[in-house]
Amino acid sequence: MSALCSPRKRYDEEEPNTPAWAAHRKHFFILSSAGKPIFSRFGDESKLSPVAGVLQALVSFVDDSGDTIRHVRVGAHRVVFLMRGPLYLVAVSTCGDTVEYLWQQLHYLHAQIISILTSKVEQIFARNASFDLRGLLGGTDRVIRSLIRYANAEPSLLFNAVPSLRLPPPVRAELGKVLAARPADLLFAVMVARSHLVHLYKAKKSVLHPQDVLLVMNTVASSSSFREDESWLPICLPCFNDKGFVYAHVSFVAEELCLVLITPKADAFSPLSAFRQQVMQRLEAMPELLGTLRSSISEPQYRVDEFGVPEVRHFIYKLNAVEQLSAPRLGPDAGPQCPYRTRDMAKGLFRVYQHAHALIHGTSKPLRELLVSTATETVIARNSGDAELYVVFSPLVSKPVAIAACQKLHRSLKKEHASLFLLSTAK
Amino acid sequence: MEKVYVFNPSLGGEDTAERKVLFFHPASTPVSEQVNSVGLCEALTNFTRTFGPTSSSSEPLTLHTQQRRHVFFEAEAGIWFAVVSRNAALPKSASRGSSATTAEPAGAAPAEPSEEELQDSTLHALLRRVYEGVQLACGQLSLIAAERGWEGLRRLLAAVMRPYLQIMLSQGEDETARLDVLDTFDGMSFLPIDSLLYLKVQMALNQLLTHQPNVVHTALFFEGQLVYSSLSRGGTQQLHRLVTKMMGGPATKKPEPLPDLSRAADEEHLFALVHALRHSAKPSALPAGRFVCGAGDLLQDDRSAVRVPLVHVEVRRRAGGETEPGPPENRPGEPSMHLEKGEADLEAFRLVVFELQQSVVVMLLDDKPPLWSRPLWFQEVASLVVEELQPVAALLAEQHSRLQAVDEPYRYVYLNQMNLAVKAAPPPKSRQQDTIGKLALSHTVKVIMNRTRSDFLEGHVREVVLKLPSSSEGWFVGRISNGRELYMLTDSKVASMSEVHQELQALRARNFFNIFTTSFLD
Repeated sequence: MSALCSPRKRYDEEEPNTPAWAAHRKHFFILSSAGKPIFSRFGDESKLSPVAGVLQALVSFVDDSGDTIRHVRVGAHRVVFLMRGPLYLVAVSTCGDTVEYLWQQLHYLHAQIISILTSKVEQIFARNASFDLRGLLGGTDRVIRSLIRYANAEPSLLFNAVPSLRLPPPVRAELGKVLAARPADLLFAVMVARSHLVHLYKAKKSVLHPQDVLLVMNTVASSSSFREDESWLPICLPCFNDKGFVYAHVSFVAEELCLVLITPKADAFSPLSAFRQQVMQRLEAMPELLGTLRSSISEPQYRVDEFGVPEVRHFIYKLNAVEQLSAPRLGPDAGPQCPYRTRDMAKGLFRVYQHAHALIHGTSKPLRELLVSTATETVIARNSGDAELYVVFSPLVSKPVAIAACQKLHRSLKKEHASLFLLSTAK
Repeated sequence: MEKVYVFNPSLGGEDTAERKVLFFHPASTPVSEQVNSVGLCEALTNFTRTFGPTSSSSEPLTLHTQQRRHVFFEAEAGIWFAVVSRNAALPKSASRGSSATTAEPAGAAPAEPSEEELQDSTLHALLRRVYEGVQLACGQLSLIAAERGWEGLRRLLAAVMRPYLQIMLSQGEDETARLDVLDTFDGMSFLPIDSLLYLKVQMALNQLLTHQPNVVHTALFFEGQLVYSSLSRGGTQQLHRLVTKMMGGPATKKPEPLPDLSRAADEEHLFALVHALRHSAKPSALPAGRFVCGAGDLLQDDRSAVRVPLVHVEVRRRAGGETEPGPPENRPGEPSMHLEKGEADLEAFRLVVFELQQSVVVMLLDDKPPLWSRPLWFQEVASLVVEELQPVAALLAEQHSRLQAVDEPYRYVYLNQMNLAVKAAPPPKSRQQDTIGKLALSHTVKVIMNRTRSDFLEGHVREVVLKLPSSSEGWFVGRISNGRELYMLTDSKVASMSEVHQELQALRARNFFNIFTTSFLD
């Protein structure tokens, strides 16, 4: 869905409490439990003390009755609260996102803040409740904004899964060999192209959760400065260890191909830099492989027509064992089968996915099969436990046809596992 | 249902915020808590209004907390109704307080309790029903406030709502405890009859109107199923609810006498009477029929005002509301008690209910002249009704038992939003047991059904087909088309989605061939 981008606007300089500010369809606020604004998606947060005050008052009011506020609905408005220690995260939305997904986004925002500050942020507040966190977060606004944007049209956060780049299996295996020749202190190596996972190396006994991968990918994507040179940054991977930092060596090893090397050692820059040099050399020694890789990257994802099921407009396929997902391209060059050409249409499609996802996971035991029909789409979702497949059809498709098409697509996808996903990371 | 309260945020000042409260249940709630409850609603509405107006001003506001659900609804300009209910069971992942940090399993999706049996729409329906009940007894509240002052309204609400809530919360029938999809429907089950019988019913009731010109509206129910009504959809629905309440209730041996309300305002009579009726011994069916609500004792008429309570009923559809426009019902001799422009077009009548075997005739009388206080009048009406209705009632009974005997192989509920007709298998008489058809609804089915219906009402989703997660259950189908909703459950033998599709087609062929054109259920 990354093909659909619009130029960025500087929302953070907007005057709050104006009609234009209020009319934004999805606000995010982060405030301290003392009611100090820390972040606002729109508007200068230093001028947002009144809003933060009201939110803080609501939270503490409900708290006083021995209860915890969760969310408010009125008409199309949804106000969703997530309290994490001294941080309160609030989403105010009229955009049609499900409450469940708004929660998930807040959860990721919190994780992203932890990735910048570690959970020590709580101790800071314990010492001084009115501490102004904005100083510590300084300049990292951009990472948070980038995550919000990403969450708007990409299904990764909804599914809690990493999107993987489709690659011929031999190419992927060859890349694995390149990364395997690692230095001793390397904890993880993540190879990313255009927000799609290309390869991943994990040291023995260490687990890299998809949420951490997504946070790393977002951090890398949030700034173009990483493209210029080798960078070294401390980062916290909340699922790996939320108490402390690890160190990431970030660089691009080929066009659009980013390599993130993660180590627990603060002084490991030079061995990692040397390893990066080695990776680059080995890639250049294999021009054929690099060529295939380049062509995969230049057109990340694939067209839905490639699977030969003409009724299917779009789908999302998540393989639970590797916690990765795969989906065909959207946008102007998505092919004749896929009518979602503009960003708004893609967002509309995404809401349908959100809805189906909420239904599948809305009961204590997830549903196995589901069909949802709206005025614009028919979605069939199948959840086998090993994989989740959501397939989108036209709203007018007849049910037997859609059911058959869904089965056919599922069979073809199963045959493609090795190229769609990075299977070596299976637990 | 933990709390029910009514308030007007524009009353009172900073120091006299307790004046905002018009009614509070339970009454023992400390005043400070009452004031806080009102303040919470004010804060929430003001906050959400910062972000643009909501789509409609009558949109209810719902607050979900870990343990409770609050619903606020502005019933009339400035007058809010609120209900607070406790979540039945705390979800597993309830530890979401300020102490919960990243202690959960690493990076797990925020396991918010997505499983909520009660959908907001279910509570909205309940709250609206509370308001409509009050409205039935009192008419438009803003008018009362204008006539008698806010203090007068406060007194009246206390007198009316206590017995009313007692009825709503009475044991075994606690409406809040068994909230399910049928309650959100708020539909009425119709007794399907052929046109000839329908005309006979109409003729019998027209005889009544002709001979007793002070009877303005009539409705006929058979075993709780609607046969005929001359009122609008909303008015019929209100009467249906009321009559069901009057006729139902636990059978007690000790009859409860009518409270002495001779000095009470007219508005206070209705629910006091309903409450007393529910707790009085039910006389065995008299072949000659009896007045359920009317002059019970023909010799003693000083209580007739209580026995023949005042009701405020919608006779025409609400103008410009969410309901579809319909032709106004033109009646000669429109009663003069016509209300000012308001949300509902209410008229005040005296209510008389006559039971003849399984049939119940509801009559709405002009308040003036007060013929309803004369015992003789009731004698005349009784003999007329019995004479006209007896033959029809026998035919209805025949039809009813014929329909009961039909074995229904499918489990479904159907609602037509236009006329609020509910069709279920078997009729929703069995709703206390949460059943659709012969099998009880599991918790999961209720969750899914409520959620599906909410999605339908939000207007985006048209159809849902899903395999229920438990292997002993089959498939669930929900579908909406042109204001008609259908929900069906299959048994667990149905293996695939394609077979569900075939089942649905079979159901249509069997039960809906006369209602739907091909566009529905295809």
